[in-house]
Amino acid sequence: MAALDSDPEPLDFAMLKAISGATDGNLGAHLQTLEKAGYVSITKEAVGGRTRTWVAATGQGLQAFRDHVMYLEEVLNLATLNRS
Amino acid sequence: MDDQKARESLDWIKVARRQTSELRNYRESGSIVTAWGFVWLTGFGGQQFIPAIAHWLWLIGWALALIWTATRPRRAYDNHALATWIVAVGFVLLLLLVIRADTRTAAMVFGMVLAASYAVIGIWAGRRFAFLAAIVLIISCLGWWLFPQWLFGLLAIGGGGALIVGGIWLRRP
Repeated sequence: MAALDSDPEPLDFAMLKAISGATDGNLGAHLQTLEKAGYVSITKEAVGGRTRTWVAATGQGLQAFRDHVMYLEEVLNLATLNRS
Repeated sequence: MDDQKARESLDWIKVARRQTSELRNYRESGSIVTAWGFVWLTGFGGQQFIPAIAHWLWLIGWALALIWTATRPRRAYDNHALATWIVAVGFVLLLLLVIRADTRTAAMVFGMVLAASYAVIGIWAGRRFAFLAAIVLIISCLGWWLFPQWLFGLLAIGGGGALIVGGIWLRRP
């Protein structure tokens, strides 16, 4: 989701695999879960006899991810406040 | 969630964002690097093997490569980057005219300028460019000091080839 959030255009499966370091099966399963949750949309394109898979974050997915980042930052800020 | 885990997650997000940007830069500039590799291959190849028509090969190659560069998706380059390249190349051409450089010196200077440019891009946009810079510089130096009679051929096959292969390599995630 971090990769999809940082780029407004869809990313292909190979690029997501390189960024995440996940295996084909693992990444595919994660993407299916995210698609079912409505967080990403997946489209397939035939290129010279091969299928290229494109993944894009939906508006709902981007919002959920950004909320999560805000939550992480709040956790850090609270921890800093508690220490001081 | 404790703050340690939150920090790790935020760090990972930062890394993923940087990697995405790097891979996108590589992919979008790959075809441009390959196009200029073909210009080197035909231009310097012409200077080595058919010098009578080499200037035409350079002229046509540059025109086609500039058109190719300017018609890529806008994010592969921006007007500032393209203008920077044009200013740098124009400055080098003028300098070579002022010092009345011969064709060998001009070829070597272009090899060094390209290598230096890729090294700078490597510092800012991703290490693969720095690797390309090292290959072009090594090949240029080999041609200049060890095989001077094959300088143009080395720049064509080595430099041009490195750019073509490098461009294809840049496109791979």
